[in-house]
Amino acid sequence: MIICAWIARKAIQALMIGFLSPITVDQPRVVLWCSWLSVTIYIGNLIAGNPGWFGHAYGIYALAIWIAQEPLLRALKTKIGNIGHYLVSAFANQGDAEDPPRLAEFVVGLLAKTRYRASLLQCLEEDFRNDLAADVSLRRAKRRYWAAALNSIGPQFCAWIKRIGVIGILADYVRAKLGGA
Amino acid sequence: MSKIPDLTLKEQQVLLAIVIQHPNAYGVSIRDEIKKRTERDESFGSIYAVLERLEDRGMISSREGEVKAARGGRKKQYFTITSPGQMALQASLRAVDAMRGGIEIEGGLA
Repeated sequence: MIICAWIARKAIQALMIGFLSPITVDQPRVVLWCSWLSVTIYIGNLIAGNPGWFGHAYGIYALAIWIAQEPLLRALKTKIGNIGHYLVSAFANQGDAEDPPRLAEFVVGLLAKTRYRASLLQCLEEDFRNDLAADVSLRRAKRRYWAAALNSIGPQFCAWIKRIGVIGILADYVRAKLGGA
Repeated sequence: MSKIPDLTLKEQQVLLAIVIQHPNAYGVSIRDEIKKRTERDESFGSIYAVLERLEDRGMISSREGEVKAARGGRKKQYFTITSPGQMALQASLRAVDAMRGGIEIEGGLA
């Protein structure tokens, strides 16, 4: 019940702010967040049942605002660019057997922040080479590389998961299961 | 007079490591220096998060280093403390020293 009330309150807030704020509003983060919330609620409604004509109209409106936000466009552009870049660099170069695990490099390249991505990969690779130089077996060195890579990107991965709205969709699913409005 | 910003323990450690490693402080050397002196194994993710915060606050600056011949040809990024960073570090360490003055902690306090 409390969850339903909280979600309903957030939905009303999102609805109001979404309607009242044009795309050029001075607080893009607020609009982005609200439209993101509206979109996840709309997707939740789609999964749970028919949202009705108003639900469809508002869902499309929120999606349009969300897509039109410059930060999102920029982030999408960067991510798509990164996927291409790291796919090419990770798989095109055959290299030798004593290279760091390519999939781990790809994951780090995809999820690490742009600013220090190259130096983070460089640091991980240096640790890997140091392990090999210290007579650590290749298998163990690769395992250590994976552990260090996941440890380094863990917090950013959690933030990324939150951003794509999985939690919002789950909340809507729970609401639907609880029989909320 | 502008207020000197406070530093967290991790920020202090990273700044001190940069000072010790000057002018060749980069991710691995900073991590190793902290490990050597505190026996704490920090992840690169947490080191770079602190470095990003410090750079945003103007306490350190960075420059790109040489490209290694190894696969990928990735550049090292070297970090240097700036004068606002030095002032903040001095103030922060002085505050710790002032609080510690005359106190001897032996064993548990309980």
